[in-house]
Amino acid sequence: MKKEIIVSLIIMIAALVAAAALAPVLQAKQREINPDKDKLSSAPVGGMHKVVADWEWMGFINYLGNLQTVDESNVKEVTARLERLVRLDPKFERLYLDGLSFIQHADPKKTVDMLDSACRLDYLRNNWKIPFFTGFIYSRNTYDIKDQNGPPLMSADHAKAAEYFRMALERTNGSPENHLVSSYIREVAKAEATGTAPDREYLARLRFLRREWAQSQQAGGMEQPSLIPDLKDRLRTAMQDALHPHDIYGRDFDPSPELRELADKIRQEVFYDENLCSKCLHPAKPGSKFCTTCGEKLSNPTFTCPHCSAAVEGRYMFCPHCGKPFSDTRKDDKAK
Amino acid sequence: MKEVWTIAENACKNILKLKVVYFLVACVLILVGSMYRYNEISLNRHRELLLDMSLLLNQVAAILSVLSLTFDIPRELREGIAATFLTKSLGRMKYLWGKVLGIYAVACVVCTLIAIGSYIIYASCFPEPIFLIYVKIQLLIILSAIPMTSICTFCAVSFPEMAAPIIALMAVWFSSLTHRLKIPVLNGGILPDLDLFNMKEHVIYQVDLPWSYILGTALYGVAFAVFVMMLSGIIFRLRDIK
Amino acid sequence: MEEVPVIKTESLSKRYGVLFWKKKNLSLDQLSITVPRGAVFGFLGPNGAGKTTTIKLLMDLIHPTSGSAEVLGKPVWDPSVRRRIGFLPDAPAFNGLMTASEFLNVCAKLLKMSKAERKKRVPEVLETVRMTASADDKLGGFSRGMLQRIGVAQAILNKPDLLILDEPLLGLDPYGRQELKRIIREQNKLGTTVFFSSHILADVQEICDHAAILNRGRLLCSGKLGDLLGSQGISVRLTDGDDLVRDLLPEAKECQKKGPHEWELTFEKTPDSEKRLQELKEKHAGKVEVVEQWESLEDFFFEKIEQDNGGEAGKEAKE
Repeated sequence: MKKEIIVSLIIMIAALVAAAALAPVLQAKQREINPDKDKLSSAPVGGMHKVVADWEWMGFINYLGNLQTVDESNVKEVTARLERLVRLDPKFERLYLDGLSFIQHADPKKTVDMLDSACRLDYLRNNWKIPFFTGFIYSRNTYDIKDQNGPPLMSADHAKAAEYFRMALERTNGSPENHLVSSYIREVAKAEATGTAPDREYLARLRFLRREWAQSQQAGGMEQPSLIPDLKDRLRTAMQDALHPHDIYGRDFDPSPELRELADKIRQEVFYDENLCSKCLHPAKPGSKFCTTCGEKLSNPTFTCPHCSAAVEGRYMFCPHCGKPFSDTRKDDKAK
Repeated sequence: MKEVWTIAENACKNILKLKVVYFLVACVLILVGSMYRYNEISLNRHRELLLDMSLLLNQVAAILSVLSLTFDIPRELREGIAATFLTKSLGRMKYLWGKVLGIYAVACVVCTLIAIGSYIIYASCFPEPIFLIYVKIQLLIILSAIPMTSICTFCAVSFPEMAAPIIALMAVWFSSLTHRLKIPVLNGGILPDLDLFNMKEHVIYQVDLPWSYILGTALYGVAFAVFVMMLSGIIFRLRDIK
Repeated sequence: MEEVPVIKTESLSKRYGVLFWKKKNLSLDQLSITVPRGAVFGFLGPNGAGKTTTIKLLMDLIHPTSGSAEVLGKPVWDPSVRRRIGFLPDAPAFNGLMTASEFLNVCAKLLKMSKAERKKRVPEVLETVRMTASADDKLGGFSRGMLQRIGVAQAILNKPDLLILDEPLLGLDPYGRQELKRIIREQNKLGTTVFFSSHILADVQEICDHAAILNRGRLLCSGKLGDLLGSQGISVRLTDGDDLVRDLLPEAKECQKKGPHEWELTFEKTPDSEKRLQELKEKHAGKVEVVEQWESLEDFFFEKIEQDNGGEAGKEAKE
């Protein structure tokens, strides 16, 4: 009998060692598969977080259904319920997009805090709607529903808005929705605009888009894709807007010389292969002397190919006569 | 080994003969199916609710199945039924292993019935495919019964008849919280980390689980069960049988 | 070569109550007995004497506090020896959901009997205990007596070398007791040693050839029944023996007429009288029956118990 007990003890210890060795390996593997598990609530629900979250969600909807509005009298309760839900099921997307929209006006700071946490979840790393929603809140002043004329509960932070819009863009895998791109460009411009000139945002926008263009062009002619799709078209549109600016009340004003100069530089750098009118920026056929949109006289620059010495009207990457590339440091020939 | 299979077969058949087992499985499936009607109150989250409830109820079924050990073994010891078997050429350890295997087989059958029934209900209500991940998660639930069975056996042989089920239930409950304890030896030594078997949200969020993880947790469960069973065997061996 | 005793205990003791704050109860005190092969051994004692404790120790259901016990030459904790033992507990309990034949099949499997053996043996034992008609009935619906029979059936399933029965006659009606005694005799004739505890002393005297008496956990006496009980003489029964009676009457202690030409005489037991009566029996085979008359086991039992209790009372009084 003693022998039997000794054998049992040996097997027991061996099994204990095996289990104790396996446990941390499996725990690490579990964290690798599910990095957001650490964010779960430590409430003793016996691992039933998900199903408790389902029932809490129904309770939350029922509770909201009995409220006329979410304001300072009940925002704490609503927020507490949302926080509990987030801890029980942090991957629940609708919690952030629908649930937080209920407290967006009553407690915008809490809203963006919770949205920020959601943006950093591993499971939601490809979700662009949540950072977009965050950027949206940051992009404008949020006022108390009951006191729209009073001071804002949270002022606009365009830099943060731009940061979140950029995050959303990065998550769209190259095919973002148009309103997202527009919002991003707009917020960057607002964040980078300096001074008090009425066309500061136009300037900032052009500078930003020009920078984006420069970054997308690499040495050797290989393009790097930009986060902003159709960059060239957007640049063209931005330049056209910049040459016909209007203020916040919709009144037109003349663009400043600085703005004109910047637009012209961009025309020469980016649109060298297009014969653009210097006034309205609409493209003209090579060889035309006047713009068919505004009647402005065209400059029609010609360039000499360094390889075959042919005269080329317009600026291109490769010579239309011999097919060889123009050099990087192109120098304009004087217009005829 | 034949004696172990005999006890296991006997334990398994005695429970699976009971009609109440199938009645309870049917009740579970009706409850799962009723979650489909919660679409309005949950704002169209009824799909998640149906799946979560089926996994939860299956887990509860597994726990209750293995908890029957804490009733069965003390009752057999008290009534003298165990004495009849133990006076055959059957060691006490083999008796315990037979009981464990038999009850685990019951848990497997009950959980499989619930899993299949729930999947049929789901597939007839929703088009989104979940088969492979669903099978993996249900398999984890069935595997989690391995360490739970050993805990129940330990409580059945170590504690009085009235206290054994309560202590076993508390131990299972706390075992689902041990991931908070970051001390590795405790997870293998005192209570198992049942949270390793808890990946239920993967069915909803369609996050794949590698087979290597499932194999690892199975091995962990077996290693822990062997440890506790050996300890239970030693306690049972030294105990006087009425 | 000396035959290995079927049961052998040496100073076997059992004390209940391990926890230090509980009063220790000495249930068995230095028990040393030997049961020879082929015996029908009656284990006697009043309630609480330690009979069931001894049997449980022999079946390794409980552990001794000190001492040792061997069964069929092997230590009691060796599971392999139990393949050769049949055991019937007092108040046998079985799973009520199983039928009689299902239960016996499970027991047979545990005894490592093959399928063919089981198929043959299970109906056999059911027939032996007269339970064939109830083979497919659930055990939960059986009476006490029926359960006792099933208990005996599972005990003799493996044709054991040793049968240990704890209070087998308890709760049985006279028919049941008669049946059980028949089964015990049959099994003994097949070579099985029978060791059983009982309160029904008349039945024990009828079927046992060895006995031991236990009181308060201590062994009072043990041995062959013939050695333990005093002889009360030799009884001679004569049929058609009018002539013989005249010859034997002077030596007889007692004489009774049982019927026409039928006489019963009682003689003092001496070596001479034994020899002479044996010769008479051989000479007049068929007419003469010679039976030794023993002291009643009941009288012997009470005598021993009262002696022991009186001695204890005397000791306590002195203290």
